[in-house]
Amino acid sequence: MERRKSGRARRWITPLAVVAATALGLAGCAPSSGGSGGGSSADISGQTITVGVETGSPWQAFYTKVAPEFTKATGVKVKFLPVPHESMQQQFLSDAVSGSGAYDVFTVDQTWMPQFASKGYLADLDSILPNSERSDFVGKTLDTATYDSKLYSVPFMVHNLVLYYRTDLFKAAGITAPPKTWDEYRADAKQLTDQAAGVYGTIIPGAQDVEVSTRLESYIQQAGGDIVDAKGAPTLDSEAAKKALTMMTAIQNDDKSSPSGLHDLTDIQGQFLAGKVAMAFVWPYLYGMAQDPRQSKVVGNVDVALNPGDPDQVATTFSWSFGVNSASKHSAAAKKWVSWSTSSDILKQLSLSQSVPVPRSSAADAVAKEGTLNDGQKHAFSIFNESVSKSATMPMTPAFPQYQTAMSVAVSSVMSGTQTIDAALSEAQKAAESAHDSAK
Amino acid sequence: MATTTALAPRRRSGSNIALRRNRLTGIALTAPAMIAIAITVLFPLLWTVSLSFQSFDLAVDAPPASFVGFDNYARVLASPGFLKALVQTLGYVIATLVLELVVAMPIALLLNRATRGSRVLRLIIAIPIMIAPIVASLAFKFLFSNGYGFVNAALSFVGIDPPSWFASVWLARGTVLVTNMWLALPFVILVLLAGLSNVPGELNEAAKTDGANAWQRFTHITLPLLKPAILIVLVIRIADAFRVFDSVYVLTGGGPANSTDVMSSYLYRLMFSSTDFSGSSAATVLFVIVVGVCAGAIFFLLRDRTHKA
Amino acid sequence: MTSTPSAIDRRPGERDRTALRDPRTPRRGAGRRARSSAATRRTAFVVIAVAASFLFLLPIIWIFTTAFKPTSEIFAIPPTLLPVAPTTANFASVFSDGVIVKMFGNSLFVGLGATIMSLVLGVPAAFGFAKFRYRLSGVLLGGALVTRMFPPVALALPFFLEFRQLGLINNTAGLIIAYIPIVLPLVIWMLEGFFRDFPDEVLEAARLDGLGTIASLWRIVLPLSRPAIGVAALFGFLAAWNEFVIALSLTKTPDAQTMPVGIASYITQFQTIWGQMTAASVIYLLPVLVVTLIAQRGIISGLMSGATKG
Repeated sequence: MERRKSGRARRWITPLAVVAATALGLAGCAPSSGGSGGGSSADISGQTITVGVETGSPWQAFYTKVAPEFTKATGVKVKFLPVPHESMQQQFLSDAVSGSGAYDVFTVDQTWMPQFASKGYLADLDSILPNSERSDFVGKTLDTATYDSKLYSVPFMVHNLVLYYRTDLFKAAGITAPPKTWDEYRADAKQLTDQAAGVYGTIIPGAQDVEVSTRLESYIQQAGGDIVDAKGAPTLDSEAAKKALTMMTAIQNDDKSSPSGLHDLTDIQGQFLAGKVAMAFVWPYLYGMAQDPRQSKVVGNVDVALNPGDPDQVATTFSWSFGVNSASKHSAAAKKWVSWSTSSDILKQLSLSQSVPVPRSSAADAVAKEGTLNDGQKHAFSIFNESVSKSATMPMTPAFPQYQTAMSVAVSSVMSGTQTIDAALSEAQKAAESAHDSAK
Repeated sequence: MATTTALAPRRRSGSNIALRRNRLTGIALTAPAMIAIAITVLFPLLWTVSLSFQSFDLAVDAPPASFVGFDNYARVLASPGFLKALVQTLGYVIATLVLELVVAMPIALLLNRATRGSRVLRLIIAIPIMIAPIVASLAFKFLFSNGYGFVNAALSFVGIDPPSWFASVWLARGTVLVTNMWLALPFVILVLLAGLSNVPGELNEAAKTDGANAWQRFTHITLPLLKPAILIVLVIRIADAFRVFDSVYVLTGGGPANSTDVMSSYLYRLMFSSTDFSGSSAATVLFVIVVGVCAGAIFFLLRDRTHKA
Repeated sequence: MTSTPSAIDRRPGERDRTALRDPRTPRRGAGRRARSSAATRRTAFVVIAVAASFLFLLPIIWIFTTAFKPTSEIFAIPPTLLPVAPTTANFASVFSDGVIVKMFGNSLFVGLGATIMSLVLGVPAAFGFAKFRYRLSGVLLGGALVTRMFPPVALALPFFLEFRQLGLINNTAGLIIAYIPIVLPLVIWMLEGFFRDFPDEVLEAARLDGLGTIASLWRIVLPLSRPAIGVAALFGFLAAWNEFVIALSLTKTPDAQTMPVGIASYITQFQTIWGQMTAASVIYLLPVLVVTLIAQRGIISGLMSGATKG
């Protein structure tokens, strides 16, 4: 008798528990929006801020070196946390989303700055740059740090791809000037390829990553197009895009003027510095590396030039800046770092030590006047600055990271022969359109 | 007569109490673990299910969550990325299960016959089980690299033109497969070895004297007796195969052209790159359903055979 | 009714001819050729076994040799196996910033924490499921084992969102909690079968001696089950030690990140810093390999018993 009753009672327990759990689950509210930013104490001395930087980057090396000056000036200690480039967006984003404030300062890649700003993860920095400072910033460089008319980061470097070429190989082949058009580029690459000697005329990107997508975007702009139209809607399947991919596959597959394989920045940079490639498009930081005998086998034989265009000799500009995590618990100290690290004097030091163009005209002038620069460096700087001033930047939309993913998948599909150019671009366009729609 | 009736009720109530005590003890012993599992698995899953029917954003100043029915599911199922990841995951699971069994079987048979150094060999075979998949993946990433990688060096040594492993779709998939097989084969071999040790040698000997050749002996004697071991392997390996993440993350990042994207890497990207948490909830639920259906199918097969539990 | 002749039936001096002869060993008096061909077969077997083992362990061998190579040698074409100029520079740079040490500590803390909690919860549970069945115990046990089938990434979403609200992101204690669903079902699965085979008579005897369940468990069962529990604990610890995707999702800085996350972060856009990465991997793998060597018999029998216990 007893057993049956208790058995019956027990039989109800499980379903009840399940129902209760489900009810709890369904009633359980969706997570609330985050952003509990705190801590803005007037006295920041003694605090420690955590700055997220890109692992192995020239700016990590530079800022790690100069940080003690900041600590001496303000009493704020700086801890640098390196994150690999590919993981930066994910790591910073999930920290911002989690509201834990593990990072106080982000090294902000322009490509995901609008995404972060639109979600409120970056603190508003309008207050730290008075107008007198703003006018010191060259041309449209501050646009790369502005979203929805508010300043969310301060750039320490605005750059784009430039053409690096081997002066010795050019001379030996009798080519008197670097190519200015795509046709010249393709012809020079063919002429400079010597498979027996293991040297290729150029190297074409093909890996599936975001840096490769910036190259496609640059090619598209060189062809006179862009990845968005005047209203900001994506145009990845434009004629310019088709022209770009056709050029890339022609050089890679038909001419074989590029080493086989799907290349990324590591390959492009590595092969150029190893002397295996005569022409490569890389960012300005490579100039310093190319002249360093510890890293380069082509010291003294490297020069830079504007990108060959069809017709525009441009490349998409991108900026690296510092931004403050809106969930930071030391936001005053973090903001102090941002304004100090992008001040004229520090930027001048950055420019000189890493051979990169910096966005402040006072710093650029100071660099130009610098007596220690040789002719090659002066020429390189003038090319970097000219290239940036001629070019347009990326579209400032929160959907940009997804545009980049769509582009990088398209490039790697086409270069690996998995899809035709038209099919790959129309798939990329579809992905970009749906990203655009959900970002509205 | 009188004694038995006098005894009977006492014995019945005695066993009642004993059984009830047993049951209560069982509940007491298992309850803490069950509660822990409920809190850490059941509730999160149910919560995810409820989230999958809502649309919410984690931005600062985001609009409050709203109920959207099956919208998230429709969006996820319509996205080519999800379907591609799903199909590729299923393909990978089937390929790896088949290959693991096919490769492990002869090795297990060979080891079963070996008497010398079997202890050392078993130890060597067991080592990959202890190695973290992330470390193994990094090692294979180097080994398959162009130029300085060992695989391509070996290929050019024997005169074969070494390919770019990570540059073509099927070769990239191959690297993921090889890496995971290295991690999984030891377990399969050891389980098959254990199963083989239950196959009496006399049966084989008798069959041999009856004139059966090696293949016949294998398919008619060894294989049927190995069925329980094979099914154990399938059940465990199917769960592990669906989990694959570390090797994809390190070796190919999902490329080239998303051809090595699997459910885990797709889900991770959806969560932490696109921060599409509503979509991720729906995708998580779908993923769990797929794994559940496949594992359930294998369980069903297991139940029909020798069920020891 | 035929029976195999037992030793009693045999006349002294007569060998047992019914025992099956290992066909590989030559018969007595078979001649020198048969014996030497057996010897060559054995040598061939050893050679093949050594070569196969070497190839099989190549990834690990590569990790250990590369950790001691300078960068120029790592990228040598054609690749070399042993370092020509071995160096400890990689280890020096890995230890220099204290990050890897911190992550090693985190991995240890989280692994031990998750394992201990899983043992405390799982050993009684496995015992209960094995010996003290109740109406739902079959279903619950099945449910617990089913969670082992779970892809951990499916839990990444709810854990991330829950921990975010609880402030447990980037927190080793939070990671321990997140690892319970990975380690606990494994422990229960490995021990339930073992406890099922535990002799009932011993438990009966203990009960007759007046010991309660907990006391019998603690004083009688556990001491006799040490090897099995050790193996279960080892595999549970390994599951947490090697785990990657949950740690990647829930931790952000070296304060809470574990070794797998740290090792993976050596892949950067500029290069994969193989030297430091392999040095860190050596540090990470060494404890595991040492334990494997010490506990090899238990590990292998634990793995193989999976075939019969189901």
